[in-house]
Amino acid sequence: MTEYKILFTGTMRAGKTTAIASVSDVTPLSTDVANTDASVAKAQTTVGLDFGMLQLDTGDRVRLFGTPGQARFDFLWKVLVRNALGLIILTDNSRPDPLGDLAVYLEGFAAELQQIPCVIGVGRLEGSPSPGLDAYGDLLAQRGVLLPVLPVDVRRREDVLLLVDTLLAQIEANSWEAPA
Amino acid sequence: MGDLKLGVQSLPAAEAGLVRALLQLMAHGRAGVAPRWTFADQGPFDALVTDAATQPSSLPARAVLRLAQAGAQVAEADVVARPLRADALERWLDAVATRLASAPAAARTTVRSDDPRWKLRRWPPNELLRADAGRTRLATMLSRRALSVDELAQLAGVAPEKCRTFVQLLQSFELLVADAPPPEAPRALPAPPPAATTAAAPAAPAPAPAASRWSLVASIRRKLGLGGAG
Repeated sequence: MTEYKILFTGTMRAGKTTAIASVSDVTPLSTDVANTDASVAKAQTTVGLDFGMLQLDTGDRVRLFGTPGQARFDFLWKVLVRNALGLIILTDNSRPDPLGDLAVYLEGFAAELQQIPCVIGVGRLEGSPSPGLDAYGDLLAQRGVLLPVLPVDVRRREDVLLLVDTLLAQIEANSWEAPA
Repeated sequence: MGDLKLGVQSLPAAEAGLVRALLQLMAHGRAGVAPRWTFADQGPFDALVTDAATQPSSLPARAVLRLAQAGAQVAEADVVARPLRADALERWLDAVATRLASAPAAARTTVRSDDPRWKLRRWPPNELLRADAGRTRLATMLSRRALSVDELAQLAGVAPEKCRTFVQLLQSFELLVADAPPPEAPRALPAPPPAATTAAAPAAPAPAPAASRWSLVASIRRKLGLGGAG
């Protein structure tokens, strides 16, 4: 039995825990504590990790890890992302500077993004349409990074599945060998 | 025609063993009869046996036999219901061998070498994708490597005309770079660290070879009910 992992990262309230729960076989194991950050209206927040899991019919497993959202836990990001199948970065478009938030993760995972598949899911666009999705594409283009950017409501399983599908498509593209 | 190679992909270990055993029985019973099918653990393959959920156009073989669930009503020539029977496998392999032997050399390749390859220069504007999963997949693949229209169609499991229309749309918005370098070899991820990781971050295995990645992706797609595009 082999274990693989997919990493979910992003700011507080971006929906990492909800996204994992929407596809996990098991109720995600969370290490939540009371949120003491008064600037964020959230009762609980993940200070350690979220664990979800997919049990495959081959006997293998895919662990779904959610990173702590706060930047001060970025030391964990480097550890968690090692040998990950892919990375899903979730953003919250209702925050004051969601593009700045994304930049933190682009820098934090800069080395890994040279190799592993990654997709960006932008949440809360309906209630906070600015910046628009194309602004995210512009930011990535300015940084010379080419990643899929998709709108997402993590409460909708089909949206989360599209994020995972996009990761899988990247793995397929990486692995495919053109006929001679 | 020399020996032909049969492989398996995205099948449970027991079923893969069954295919290997059936092939050995066939070889024993047809000693001296050409062409001879041999079991291959690694590609390139002339034919593959796989699960019906796998998109055949994305597999590295010229012919694919897909195994459907037991009791399934199947009407396609390259699909059989489980359990796989020796006579069904032999009939299919004979048909494939005949097809391969009679195809002209040019028709055996599915990609036209004069097709240019394209790669995205940036992620497309939302108005081009319109939350369409199929277009998102095509754009995703073009973001990862340079592909011709036919290669994109084969990889994504989408009709070539759909791919051509989408590529033309991307071209009209100057989102593509033409004549990109040949496809990169599958990128290897860093090897896992030799020391133990923290208890909160269990070590994951070193990356699997490309062929194993196909099998892994197929099993995840089955698990989540994610089919191919198109």
